[in-house]
Amino acid sequence: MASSRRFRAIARVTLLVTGTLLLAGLAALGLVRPLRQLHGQASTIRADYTRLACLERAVHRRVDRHDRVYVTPDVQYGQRLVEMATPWARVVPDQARSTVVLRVAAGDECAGARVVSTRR
Amino acid sequence: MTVVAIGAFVLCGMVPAAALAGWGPRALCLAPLLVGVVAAFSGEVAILTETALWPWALVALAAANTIGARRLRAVAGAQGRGRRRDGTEWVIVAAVATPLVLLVVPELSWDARSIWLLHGRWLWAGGAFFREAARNPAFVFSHSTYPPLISSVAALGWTLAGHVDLRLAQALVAVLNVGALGLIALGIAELAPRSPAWRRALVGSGAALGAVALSGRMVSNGYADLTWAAAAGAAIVSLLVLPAPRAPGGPRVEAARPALWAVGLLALLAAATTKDEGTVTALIVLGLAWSRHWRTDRGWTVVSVATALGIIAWPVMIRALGALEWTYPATITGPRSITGRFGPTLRALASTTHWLLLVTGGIALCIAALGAIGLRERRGLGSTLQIWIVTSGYLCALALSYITAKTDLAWHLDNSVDRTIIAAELFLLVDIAAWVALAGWPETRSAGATDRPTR
Repeated sequence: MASSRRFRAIARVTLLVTGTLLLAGLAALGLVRPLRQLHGQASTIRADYTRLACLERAVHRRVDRHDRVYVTPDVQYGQRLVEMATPWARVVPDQARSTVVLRVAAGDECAGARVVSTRR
Repeated sequence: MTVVAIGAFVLCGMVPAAALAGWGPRALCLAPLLVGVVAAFSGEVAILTETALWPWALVALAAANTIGARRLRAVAGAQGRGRRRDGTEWVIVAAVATPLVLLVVPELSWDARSIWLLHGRWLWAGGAFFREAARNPAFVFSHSTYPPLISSVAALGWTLAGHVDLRLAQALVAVLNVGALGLIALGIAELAPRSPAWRRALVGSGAALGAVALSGRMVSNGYADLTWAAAAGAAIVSLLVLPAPRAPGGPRVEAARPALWAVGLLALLAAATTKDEGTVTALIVLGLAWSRHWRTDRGWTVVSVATALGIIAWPVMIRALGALEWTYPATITGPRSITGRFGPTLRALASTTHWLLLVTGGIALCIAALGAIGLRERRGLGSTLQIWIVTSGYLCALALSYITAKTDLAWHLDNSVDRTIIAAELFLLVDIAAWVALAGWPETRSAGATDRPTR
Protein backbone atom coordinates (compact mmCIF):
# COMPACT_ATOMS: atom_id res chain seq x y z
CA MET A 1 0.00 0.00 0.00
CA ALA A 2 2.80 2.39 0.99
CA SER A 3 4.80 1.52 -2.10
CA SER A 4 1.75 2.11 -4.25
CA ARG A 5 1.29 5.51 -2.66
CA ARG A 6 4.97 6.32 -3.18
CA PHE A 7 4.73 5.22 -6.81
CA ARG A 8 1.76 7.50 -7.37
CA ALA A 9 3.53 10.39 -5.67
CA ILE A 10 6.56 9.93 -7.95
CA ALA A 11 4.29 9.86 -10.99
CA ARG A 12 2.54 13.02 -9.83
CA VAL A 13 5.79 14.92 -9.20
CA THR A 14 7.22 13.77 -12.53
CA LEU A 15 4.07 14.93 -14.24
CA LEU A 16 4.17 18.26 -12.42
CA VAL A 17 7.82 19.01 -13.18
CA THR A 18 8.01 17.80 -16.80
CA GLY A 19 4.62 19.23 -17.65
CA THR A 20 5.41 22.63 -16.20
CA LEU A 21 8.73 22.76 -18.03
CA LEU A 22 7.06 21.71 -21.28
CA LEU A 23 4.36 24.35 -20.98
CA ALA A 24 6.93 27.00 -20.12
CA GLY A 25 8.89 26.05 -23.23
CA LEU A 26 5.78 26.10 -25.39
CA ALA A 27 4.72 29.47 -24.01
CA ALA A 28 8.14 30.92 -24.81
CA LEU A 29 8.05 29.35 -28.27
CA GLY A 30 4.59 30.79 -28.85
CA LEU A 31 5.89 34.26 -28.12
CA VAL A 32 9.03 33.95 -30.24
CA ARG A 33 8.31 31.64 -33.20
CA PRO A 34 5.71 33.74 -35.08
CA LEU A 35 7.93 36.80 -34.77
CA ARG A 36 10.93 34.89 -36.08
CA GLN A 37 8.88 33.55 -38.98
CA LEU A 38 7.73 37.03 -39.84
CA HIS A 39 11.14 38.65 -39.61
CA GLY A 40 12.68 38.63 -43.06
CA GLN A 41 9.36 38.12 -44.84
CA ALA A 42 7.73 41.26 -43.53
CA SER A 43 9.01 43.54 -46.31
CA THR A 44 7.85 41.11 -49.02
CA ILE A 45 4.43 40.76 -47.42
CA ARG A 46 4.11 44.53 -47.08
CA ALA A 47 5.08 45.09 -50.71
CA ASP A 48 2.59 42.49 -51.92
CA TYR A 49 -0.17 43.96 -49.80
CA THR A 50 0.59 47.48 -51.01
CA ARG A 51 0.45 46.34 -54.64
CA LEU A 52 -2.83 44.50 -54.15
CA ALA A 53 -4.38 47.37 -52.20
CA CYS A 54 -3.38 49.76 -54.97
CA LEU A 55 -4.91 47.45 -57.57
CA GLU A 56 -8.07 47.19 -55.53
CA ARG A 57 -8.45 50.95 -55.37
CA ALA A 58 -7.90 51.14 -59.12
CA VAL A 59 -10.51 48.46 -59.74
CA HIS A 60 -13.02 50.25 -57.55
CA ARG A 61 -12.52 53.45 -59.51
CA ARG A 62 -13.25 51.70 -62.77
CA VAL A 63 -16.04 49.22 -62.23
CA ASP A 64 -19.71 49.49 -61.40
CA ARG A 65 -22.69 47.16 -61.43
CA HIS A 66 -22.97 47.39 -65.19
CA ASP A 67 -19.50 45.99 -65.72
CA ARG A 68 -18.63 42.40 -66.22
CA VAL A 69 -15.33 40.88 -65.32
CA TYR A 70 -13.48 38.32 -67.32
CA VAL A 71 -10.05 37.18 -66.31
CA THR A 72 -7.62 35.60 -68.70
CA PRO A 73 -5.86 32.64 -67.13
CA ASP A 74 -2.39 33.99 -67.86
CA VAL A 75 -2.86 37.09 -65.77
CA GLN A 76 -0.91 36.89 -62.55
CA TYR A 77 -3.52 38.60 -60.42
CA GLY A 78 -6.50 37.14 -62.22
CA GLN A 79 -8.23 35.56 -59.30
CA ARG A 80 -7.35 38.49 -57.10
CA LEU A 81 -9.03 40.74 -59.65
CA VAL A 82 -12.24 38.79 -59.34
CA GLU A 83 -12.07 39.31 -55.59
CA MET A 84 -11.30 42.99 -55.93
CA ALA A 85 -14.14 43.63 -58.33
CA THR A 86 -16.61 41.94 -55.96
CA PRO A 87 -19.27 43.07 -55.22
CA TRP A 88 -19.09 46.10 -57.51
CA ALA A 89 -18.89 44.32 -60.81
CA ARG A 90 -20.87 41.40 -62.11
CA VAL A 91 -18.55 38.44 -62.24
CA VAL A 92 -19.33 35.90 -64.92
CA PRO A 93 -17.83 32.49 -65.64
CA ASP A 94 -14.93 31.99 -68.02
CA GLN A 95 -17.18 30.86 -70.84
CA ALA A 96 -18.55 34.38 -71.27
CA ARG A 97 -15.53 35.61 -73.17
CA SER A 98 -17.50 38.27 -74.98
CA THR A 99 -17.83 40.31 -71.82
CA VAL A 100 -14.21 41.19 -71.16
CA VAL A 101 -14.13 44.35 -69.17
CA LEU A 102 -11.13 44.37 -66.92
CA ARG A 103 -7.69 43.04 -67.47
CA VAL A 104 -4.60 43.22 -65.36
CA ALA A 105 -1.27 43.25 -67.11
CA ALA A 106 2.34 43.54 -66.05
CA GLY A 107 3.39 47.13 -66.36
CA ASP A 108 2.99 50.50 -64.86
CA GLU A 109 0.57 51.20 -62.07
CA CYS A 110 0.66 49.63 -58.64
CA ALA A 111 4.28 48.50 -58.62
CA GLY A 112 4.07 45.97 -61.38
CA ALA A 113 0.43 45.67 -62.34
CA ARG A 114 -1.93 47.83 -64.33
CA VAL A 115 -5.70 47.96 -64.56
CA VAL A 116 -7.23 48.49 -67.97
CA SER A 117 -10.94 48.95 -68.39
CA THR A 118 -12.66 48.14 -71.66
CA ARG A 119 -16.39 48.48 -71.32
CA ARG A 120 -18.56 46.92 -74.02
CA MET B 1 -11.20 53.58 -37.71
CA THR B 2 -9.85 50.07 -37.32
CA VAL B 3 -9.37 50.54 -33.59
CA VAL B 4 -12.87 52.01 -33.20
CA ALA B 5 -14.44 49.14 -35.13
CA ILE B 6 -12.56 46.54 -33.08
CA GLY B 7 -13.58 48.30 -29.87
CA ALA B 8 -17.21 48.35 -30.98
CA PHE B 9 -16.97 44.68 -32.00
CA VAL B 10 -15.83 43.65 -28.52
CA LEU B 11 -18.06 46.08 -26.62
CA CYS B 12 -21.19 44.81 -28.41
CA GLY B 13 -20.66 41.45 -26.77
CA MET B 14 -19.40 42.52 -23.36
CA VAL B 15 -22.73 42.78 -21.52
CA PRO B 16 -24.12 39.36 -22.56
CA ALA B 17 -20.65 37.86 -22.10
CA ALA B 18 -20.45 39.32 -18.60
CA ALA B 19 -23.92 37.95 -17.84
CA LEU B 20 -22.56 34.49 -18.64
CA ALA B 21 -19.04 34.73 -17.25
CA GLY B 22 -19.03 37.73 -14.89
CA TRP B 23 -17.21 40.98 -15.50
CA GLY B 24 -13.54 40.41 -16.08
CA PRO B 25 -11.04 38.84 -18.44
CA ARG B 26 -13.24 35.84 -19.22
CA ALA B 27 -16.01 38.12 -20.50
CA LEU B 28 -13.44 40.04 -22.52
CA CYS B 29 -12.34 36.83 -24.22
CA LEU B 30 -15.89 35.57 -24.68
CA ALA B 31 -17.30 38.80 -26.15
CA PRO B 32 -15.69 38.49 -29.63
CA LEU B 33 -16.86 34.88 -29.97
CA LEU B 34 -20.36 35.84 -28.85
CA VAL B 35 -20.57 38.64 -31.41
CA GLY B 36 -19.11 36.23 -33.98
CA VAL B 37 -21.80 33.63 -33.33
CA VAL B 38 -24.53 36.29 -33.47
CA ALA B 39 -23.05 37.58 -36.73
CA ALA B 40 -22.86 34.06 -38.18
CA PHE B 41 -26.50 33.25 -37.49
CA SER B 42 -27.54 36.71 -38.64
CA GLY B 43 -25.66 35.98 -41.85
CA GLU B 44 -27.52 32.71 -42.25
CA VAL B 45 -30.86 34.48 -41.83
CA ALA B 46 -29.81 37.23 -44.24
CA ILE B 47 -28.86 34.68 -46.88
CA LEU B 48 -32.05 32.70 -46.33
CA THR B 49 -34.26 35.78 -46.59
CA GLU B 50 -32.11 37.53 -49.23
CA THR B 51 -31.83 40.61 -47.07
CA ALA B 52 -29.01 42.71 -45.60
CA LEU B 53 -26.91 41.29 -42.77
CA TRP B 54 -26.65 44.26 -40.46
CA PRO B 55 -30.35 44.68 -39.44
CA TRP B 56 -30.49 41.07 -38.25
CA ALA B 57 -27.23 41.43 -36.37
CA LEU B 58 -28.40 44.70 -34.85
CA VAL B 59 -31.66 43.18 -33.60
CA ALA B 60 -29.91 40.06 -32.26
CA LEU B 61 -27.20 42.03 -30.48
CA ALA B 62 -29.77 44.44 -29.02
CA ALA B 63 -31.78 41.48 -27.71
CA ALA B 64 -28.66 39.81 -26.29
CA ASN B 65 -27.58 43.01 -24.58
CA THR B 66 -31.04 43.63 -23.11
CA ILE B 67 -31.34 40.12 -21.72
CA GLY B 68 -27.73 40.23 -20.55
CA ALA B 69 -28.19 43.54 -18.74
CA ARG B 70 -31.26 42.21 -16.90
CA ARG B 71 -29.46 39.09 -15.76
CA LEU B 72 -26.14 40.71 -15.05
CA ARG B 73 -26.71 41.93 -11.50
CA ALA B 74 -27.92 38.61 -10.08
CA VAL B 75 -25.42 36.53 -12.02
CA ALA B 76 -22.50 38.79 -11.15
CA GLY B 77 -23.42 38.57 -7.46
CA ALA B 78 -23.55 34.79 -7.53
CA GLN B 79 -20.30 34.46 -9.42
CA GLY B 80 -18.42 36.98 -7.35
CA ARG B 81 -18.51 34.81 -4.23
CA GLY B 82 -15.21 33.17 -3.50
CA ARG B 83 -13.66 34.14 -6.81
CA ARG B 84 -9.95 34.78 -6.62
CA ARG B 85 -9.15 38.32 -7.71
CA ASP B 86 -5.36 38.52 -7.75
CA GLY B 87 -4.91 39.70 -11.29
CA THR B 88 -3.56 36.38 -12.54
CA GLU B 89 -6.34 36.13 -15.10
CA TRP B 90 -5.38 39.50 -16.55
CA VAL B 91 -1.77 38.36 -16.78
CA ILE B 92 -2.92 35.27 -18.68
CA VAL B 93 -5.03 37.30 -21.10
CA ALA B 94 -2.16 39.75 -21.64
CA ALA B 95 0.22 36.86 -22.40
CA VAL B 96 -2.20 35.23 -24.82
CA ALA B 97 -2.84 38.58 -26.53
CA THR B 98 0.87 39.16 -27.17
CA PRO B 99 0.78 37.61 -30.68
CA LEU B 100 -1.46 40.50 -31.71
CA VAL B 101 1.77 42.43 -32.33
CA LEU B 102 1.95 40.43 -35.57
CA LEU B 103 -0.83 42.66 -36.87
CA VAL B 104 1.79 45.28 -37.70
CA VAL B 105 2.31 43.29 -40.90
CA PRO B 106 -0.64 43.40 -43.33
CA GLU B 107 -0.66 39.70 -44.06
CA LEU B 108 -3.68 38.10 -45.71
CA SER B 109 -2.89 34.88 -47.48
CA TRP B 110 -4.93 32.90 -50.02
CA ASP B 111 -7.64 31.43 -47.79
CA ALA B 112 -8.17 34.75 -46.08
CA ARG B 113 -8.65 36.75 -49.25
CA SER B 114 -10.15 34.16 -51.57
CA ILE B 115 -12.49 32.44 -49.16
CA TRP B 116 -13.32 34.30 -45.98
CA LEU B 117 -13.05 37.89 -47.11
CA LEU B 118 -14.51 37.17 -50.53
CA HIS B 119 -17.55 35.67 -48.81
CA GLY B 120 -17.45 38.74 -46.55
CA ARG B 121 -17.77 40.90 -49.66
CA TRP B 122 -20.78 38.85 -50.76
CA LEU B 123 -22.45 39.27 -47.39
CA TRP B 124 -21.55 42.94 -47.27
CA ALA B 125 -23.50 43.29 -50.51
CA GLY B 126 -26.45 41.41 -48.98
CA GLY B 127 -27.99 37.96 -48.69
CA ALA B 128 -29.32 37.99 -52.25
CA PHE B 129 -25.84 38.71 -53.62
CA PHE B 130 -24.42 35.89 -51.50
CA ARG B 131 -26.92 33.38 -52.87
CA GLU B 132 -26.22 34.38 -56.44
CA ALA B 133 -22.45 34.32 -55.92
CA ALA B 134 -22.51 30.94 -54.17
CA ARG B 135 -24.18 29.47 -57.28
CA ASN B 136 -21.85 31.26 -59.68
CA PRO B 137 -19.30 28.90 -61.32
CA ALA B 138 -16.88 31.84 -61.53
CA PHE B 139 -16.52 31.66 -57.75
CA VAL B 140 -16.20 27.91 -57.48
CA PHE B 141 -12.57 28.29 -56.33
CA SER B 142 -13.86 29.95 -53.19
CA HIS B 143 -15.44 27.05 -51.26
CA SER B 144 -18.88 28.65 -51.36
CA THR B 145 -20.27 26.19 -48.83
CA TYR B 146 -17.86 27.09 -46.02
CA PRO B 147 -19.54 28.37 -42.82
CA PRO B 148 -20.15 32.09 -42.40
CA LEU B 149 -18.72 33.26 -39.06
CA ILE B 150 -15.57 35.02 -40.24
CA SER B 151 -17.25 36.37 -43.37
CA SER B 152 -20.14 37.72 -41.31
CA VAL B 153 -17.81 39.36 -38.80
CA ALA B 154 -15.83 40.98 -41.63
CA ALA B 155 -19.03 42.16 -43.33
CA LEU B 156 -20.30 43.68 -40.08
CA GLY B 157 -16.98 45.44 -39.53
CA TRP B 158 -17.06 46.83 -43.07
CA THR B 159 -20.63 48.01 -42.55
CA LEU B 160 -19.39 49.97 -39.57
CA ALA B 161 -16.35 51.25 -41.46
CA GLY B 162 -18.39 52.09 -44.53
CA HIS B 163 -16.09 50.31 -46.99
CA VAL B 164 -14.24 47.05 -47.57
CA ASP B 165 -11.23 47.25 -45.27
CA LEU B 166 -8.97 44.20 -45.44
CA ARG B 167 -6.79 45.36 -42.55
CA LEU B 168 -9.84 45.66 -40.33
CA ALA B 169 -10.92 42.16 -41.28
CA GLN B 170 -7.43 40.83 -40.52
CA ALA B 171 -7.55 42.45 -37.08
CA LEU B 172 -11.05 41.14 -36.33
CA VAL B 173 -10.04 37.55 -37.12
CA ALA B 174 -6.97 37.94 -34.92
CA VAL B 175 -9.16 39.21 -32.07
CA LEU B 176 -11.41 36.16 -32.50
CA ASN B 177 -8.34 33.91 -32.33
CA VAL B 178 -6.98 35.54 -29.22
CA GLY B 179 -10.40 35.50 -27.56
CA ALA B 180 -10.80 31.77 -28.10
CA LEU B 181 -7.24 31.05 -26.98
CA GLY B 182 -7.85 33.21 -23.91
CA LEU B 183 -10.89 31.12 -22.98
CA ILE B 184 -8.75 27.97 -23.16
CA ALA B 185 -6.06 29.55 -20.99
CA LEU B 186 -8.51 30.83 -18.36
CA GLY B 187 -10.34 27.50 -18.25
CA ILE B 188 -7.12 25.55 -17.71
CA ALA B 189 -5.98 28.02 -15.05
CA GLU B 190 -9.27 27.48 -13.26
CA LEU B 191 -8.37 23.82 -12.85
CA ALA B 192 -5.56 24.86 -10.52
CA PRO B 193 -7.21 27.31 -8.11
CA ARG B 194 -4.89 26.50 -5.22
CA SER B 195 -1.62 26.75 -7.11
CA PRO B 196 0.64 29.80 -6.92
CA ALA B 197 -0.27 32.57 -9.30
CA TRP B 198 2.79 32.03 -11.51
CA ARG B 199 1.93 28.36 -11.99
CA ARG B 200 -1.67 29.10 -12.85
CA ALA B 201 -0.53 31.71 -15.33
CA LEU B 202 2.00 29.31 -16.81
CA VAL B 203 -0.25 26.29 -17.24
CA GLY B 204 -3.06 28.51 -18.48
CA SER B 205 -1.14 30.40 -21.10
CA GLY B 206 1.16 27.45 -21.92
CA ALA B 207 -1.44 25.55 -23.93
CA ALA B 208 -2.74 28.66 -25.69
CA LEU B 209 0.70 30.01 -26.59
CA GLY B 210 1.79 26.49 -27.51
CA ALA B 211 -0.97 26.50 -30.12
CA VAL B 212 0.40 29.80 -31.42
CA ALA B 213 3.87 28.24 -31.56
CA LEU B 214 2.54 25.33 -33.62
CA SER B 215 0.42 27.43 -35.95
CA GLY B 216 2.94 30.21 -36.51
CA ARG B 217 1.56 33.35 -38.12
CA MET B 218 -1.89 31.85 -38.51
CA VAL B 219 -2.97 33.79 -35.45
CA SER B 220 -2.91 37.00 -37.47
CA ASN B 221 -3.05 36.20 -41.20
CA GLY B 222 -6.81 35.91 -41.56
CA TYR B 223 -6.96 32.11 -41.75
CA ALA B 224 -9.80 30.32 -39.98
CA ASP B 225 -7.94 27.17 -38.93
CA LEU B 226 -6.75 28.45 -35.59
CA THR B 227 -10.08 30.21 -34.99
CA TRP B 228 -12.19 27.09 -35.12
CA ALA B 229 -9.58 24.94 -33.40
CA ALA B 230 -9.25 27.37 -30.49
CA ALA B 231 -13.02 27.75 -30.19
CA ALA B 232 -13.39 23.96 -30.15
CA GLY B 233 -10.59 23.78 -27.58
CA ALA B 234 -12.42 26.29 -25.38
CA ALA B 235 -15.58 24.20 -25.70
CA ILE B 236 -13.67 21.06 -24.75
CA VAL B 237 -12.27 22.73 -21.64
CA SER B 238 -15.69 24.04 -20.56
CA LEU B 239 -17.81 21.00 -21.42
CA LEU B 240 -15.47 18.02 -21.05
CA VAL B 241 -12.60 19.00 -18.75
CA LEU B 242 -13.89 21.37 -16.07
CA PRO B 243 -16.13 19.75 -13.44
CA ALA B 244 -19.80 19.31 -14.14
CA PRO B 245 -21.66 22.05 -12.23
CA ARG B 246 -24.25 19.72 -10.74
CA ALA B 247 -22.27 16.50 -10.44
CA PRO B 248 -23.16 14.93 -7.06
CA GLY B 249 -20.14 14.94 -4.77
CA GLY B 250 -18.04 16.46 -7.52
CA PRO B 251 -15.12 18.74 -6.84
CA ARG B 252 -15.85 22.35 -6.07
CA VAL B 253 -13.78 24.70 -8.16
CA GLU B 254 -14.61 28.23 -9.12
CA ALA B 255 -15.79 27.34 -12.58
CA ALA B 256 -18.48 25.01 -11.24
CA ARG B 257 -21.50 26.96 -12.35
CA PRO B 258 -24.19 26.41 -14.97
CA ALA B 259 -22.97 29.43 -16.95
CA LEU B 260 -19.93 27.34 -17.78
CA TRP B 261 -22.15 25.29 -20.08
CA ALA B 262 -23.34 28.38 -21.87
CA VAL B 263 -19.74 29.49 -22.44
CA GLY B 264 -18.86 26.02 -23.72
CA LEU B 265 -21.86 25.80 -26.02
CA LEU B 266 -21.17 29.28 -27.38
CA ALA B 267 -17.58 28.30 -28.15
CA LEU B 268 -18.91 25.12 -29.75
CA LEU B 269 -21.23 27.10 -32.03
CA ALA B 270 -18.35 29.42 -32.90
CA ALA B 271 -16.22 26.44 -33.95
CA ALA B 272 -19.08 24.92 -35.95
CA THR B 273 -19.89 28.12 -37.84
CA THR B 274 -16.26 28.87 -38.70
CA LYS B 275 -15.13 25.91 -40.79
CA ASP B 276 -16.37 22.52 -42.02
CA GLU B 277 -13.86 20.68 -39.84
CA GLY B 278 -15.20 22.66 -36.90
CA THR B 279 -18.73 21.52 -37.69
CA VAL B 280 -17.73 17.86 -37.53
CA THR B 281 -15.64 18.34 -34.38
CA ALA B 282 -18.40 20.33 -32.69
CA LEU B 283 -20.83 17.46 -33.20
CA ILE B 284 -18.33 15.02 -31.66
CA VAL B 285 -17.76 17.29 -28.64
CA LEU B 286 -21.50 17.85 -28.26
CA GLY B 287 -22.15 14.11 -28.24
CA LEU B 288 -19.51 13.55 -25.57
CA ALA B 289 -20.78 16.49 -23.50
CA TRP B 290 -24.30 15.09 -23.65
CA SER B 291 -23.08 11.66 -22.52
CA ARG B 292 -21.26 13.34 -19.63
CA HIS B 293 -24.02 15.64 -18.39
CA TRP B 294 -27.44 14.26 -19.29
CA ARG B 295 -27.74 12.05 -16.22
CA THR B 296 -27.16 14.94 -13.82
CA ASP B 297 -29.23 17.41 -15.74
CA ARG B 298 -32.15 16.22 -17.87
CA GLY B 299 -32.29 19.60 -19.59
CA TRP B 300 -29.09 18.67 -21.37
CA THR B 301 -30.91 16.58 -23.93
CA VAL B 302 -33.02 19.53 -25.03
CA VAL B 303 -29.99 21.84 -25.02
CA SER B 304 -27.96 19.33 -27.02
CA VAL B 305 -30.66 18.86 -29.64
CA ALA B 306 -31.08 22.64 -30.01
CA THR B 307 -27.31 23.12 -30.32
CA ALA B 308 -27.02 20.30 -32.85
CA LEU B 309 -29.74 21.92 -34.96
CA GLY B 310 -27.83 25.20 -34.80
CA ILE B 311 -24.66 23.40 -35.89
CA ILE B 312 -26.14 21.59 -38.88
CA ALA B 313 -28.35 24.50 -40.00
CA TRP B 314 -25.64 26.00 -42.23
CA PRO B 315 -24.44 22.92 -44.14
CA VAL B 316 -28.03 21.88 -44.82
CA MET B 317 -29.19 25.36 -45.79
CA ILE B 318 -26.32 26.32 -48.07
CA ARG B 319 -26.52 23.09 -50.04
CA ALA B 320 -30.30 23.35 -50.29
CA LEU B 321 -29.81 26.80 -51.79
CA GLY B 322 -27.71 25.27 -54.55
CA ALA B 323 -24.24 26.53 -53.60
CA LEU B 324 -21.54 24.93 -55.71
CA GLU B 325 -19.13 22.51 -54.06
CA TRP B 326 -15.42 22.99 -54.62
CA THR B 327 -14.06 20.46 -57.11
CA TYR B 328 -11.20 20.45 -59.58
CA PRO B 329 -11.99 17.31 -61.59
CA ALA B 330 -9.88 18.45 -64.52
CA THR B 331 -6.72 18.59 -62.46
CA ILE B 332 -6.99 15.25 -60.73
CA THR B 333 -3.79 13.27 -61.00
CA GLY B 334 -2.75 10.09 -59.28
CA PRO B 335 -5.17 7.70 -57.63
CA ARG B 336 -8.87 8.35 -58.06
CA SER B 337 -10.31 5.40 -56.21
CA ILE B 338 -10.89 5.68 -52.49
CA THR B 339 -8.68 2.67 -51.80
CA GLY B 340 -5.92 4.16 -53.95
CA ARG B 341 -6.07 7.46 -52.08
CA PHE B 342 -6.00 5.90 -48.62
CA GLY B 343 -2.28 5.19 -48.47
CA PRO B 344 -1.05 8.53 -49.87
CA THR B 345 -3.37 10.40 -47.50
CA LEU B 346 -2.04 8.65 -44.42
CA ARG B 347 1.56 9.06 -45.63
CA ALA B 348 1.02 12.76 -46.26
CA LEU B 349 -0.65 13.24 -42.90
CA ALA B 350 2.34 11.60 -41.25
CA SER B 351 5.04 13.32 -43.30
CA THR B 352 3.53 16.80 -43.38
CA THR B 353 2.68 16.73 -39.73
CA HIS B 354 4.81 19.17 -37.86
CA TRP B 355 7.54 17.54 -35.82
CA LEU B 356 6.17 19.36 -32.82
CA LEU B 357 2.94 17.37 -33.12
CA LEU B 358 4.82 14.11 -32.95
CA VAL B 359 6.69 15.37 -29.91
CA THR B 360 3.49 16.76 -28.42
CA GLY B 361 1.60 13.57 -29.10
CA GLY B 362 4.32 11.45 -27.52
CA ILE B 363 4.52 13.68 -24.49
CA ALA B 364 0.73 13.82 -24.23
CA LEU B 365 0.65 10.03 -24.10
CA CYS B 366 3.28 9.95 -21.35
CA ILE B 367 1.53 12.73 -19.44
CA ALA B 368 -1.79 10.94 -19.71
CA ALA B 369 -0.21 7.76 -18.40
CA LEU B 370 1.42 9.60 -15.51
CA GLY B 371 -1.84 11.36 -14.78
CA ALA B 372 -3.80 8.14 -14.83
CA ILE B 373 -1.37 6.67 -12.31
CA GLY B 374 -0.58 9.64 -10.10
CA LEU B 375 -3.87 11.49 -10.17
CA ARG B 376 -6.31 8.62 -10.09
CA GLU B 377 -8.77 10.48 -7.88
CA ARG B 378 -8.91 13.44 -10.28
CA ARG B 379 -9.50 11.66 -13.55
CA GLY B 380 -13.02 13.04 -13.65
CA LEU B 381 -11.52 16.44 -14.24
CA GLY B 382 -8.72 15.67 -16.64
CA SER B 383 -11.03 13.79 -18.98
CA THR B 384 -8.06 12.64 -21.04
CA LEU B 385 -10.11 9.88 -22.61
CA GLN B 386 -12.68 12.29 -23.98
CA ILE B 387 -10.05 14.63 -25.42
CA TRP B 388 -8.38 11.69 -27.16
CA ILE B 389 -11.75 10.59 -28.54
CA VAL B 390 -12.32 14.08 -29.97
CA THR B 391 -8.80 14.19 -31.42
CA SER B 392 -9.07 10.72 -32.95
CA GLY B 393 -12.55 11.42 -34.29
CA TYR B 394 -11.37 14.63 -35.90
CA LEU B 395 -8.33 12.98 -37.49
CA CYS B 396 -10.51 10.17 -38.89
CA ALA B 397 -12.97 12.69 -40.33
CA LEU B 398 -10.06 14.65 -41.80
CA ALA B 399 -8.51 11.62 -43.45
CA LEU B 400 -11.93 10.61 -44.80
CA SER B 401 -12.46 14.07 -46.29
CA TYR B 402 -9.13 13.87 -48.14
CA ILE B 403 -9.81 10.35 -49.36
CA THR B 404 -13.28 11.10 -50.70
CA ALA B 405 -12.65 14.63 -52.04
CA LYS B 406 -12.82 15.07 -55.82
CA THR B 407 -9.49 16.87 -55.95
CA ASP B 408 -5.90 16.33 -56.90
CA LEU B 409 -4.83 14.56 -53.75
CA ALA B 410 -1.17 15.59 -53.72
CA TRP B 411 -2.02 19.23 -54.39
CA HIS B 412 -4.79 19.20 -51.79
CA LEU B 413 -2.58 17.68 -49.12
CA ASP B 414 0.37 19.94 -49.89
CA ASN B 415 -1.79 23.00 -49.52
CA SER B 416 -3.72 22.14 -46.40
CA VAL B 417 -2.39 19.44 -44.12
CA ASP B 418 -0.12 21.80 -42.20
CA ARG B 419 -3.21 23.83 -41.31
CA THR B 420 -5.81 21.14 -40.77
CA ILE B 421 -3.54 19.36 -38.31
CA ILE B 422 -3.42 22.37 -35.96
CA ALA B 423 -6.65 21.39 -34.22
CA ALA B 424 -5.32 17.98 -33.25
CA GLU B 425 -2.17 19.59 -31.87
CA LEU B 426 -4.17 22.08 -29.87
CA PHE B 427 -6.44 19.44 -28.36
CA LEU B 428 -3.41 17.46 -27.20
CA LEU B 429 -1.94 20.60 -25.66
CA VAL B 430 -5.19 21.12 -23.77
CA ASP B 431 -4.92 17.57 -22.47
CA ILE B 432 -1.34 18.08 -21.31
CA ALA B 433 -2.11 21.41 -19.65
CA ALA B 434 -5.17 20.00 -17.88
CA TRP B 435 -3.15 17.17 -16.34
CA VAL B 436 -0.35 19.52 -15.30
CA ALA B 437 -2.86 21.88 -13.70
CA LEU B 438 -4.41 19.02 -11.74
CA ALA B 439 -1.01 17.72 -10.65
CA GLY B 440 -0.50 20.96 -8.74
CA TRP B 441 -3.43 20.27 -6.43
CA PRO B 442 -2.52 19.50 -2.81
CA GLU B 443 -2.46 15.76 -2.11
CA THR B 444 -5.41 15.84 0.30
CA ARG B 445 -9.12 15.13 0.16
CA SER B 446 -9.88 18.63 1.46
CA ALA B 447 -9.79 19.92 -2.07
CA GLY B 448 -13.10 18.15 -2.51
CA ALA B 449 -11.84 15.72 -5.10
CA THR B 450 -13.80 12.54 -5.41
CA ASP B 451 -12.50 9.04 -5.86
CA ARG B 452 -14.95 8.43 -8.63
CA PRO B 453 -14.72 10.18 -11.92
CA THR B 454 -17.53 12.67 -12.31
CA ARG B 455 -18.24 11.73 -15.89
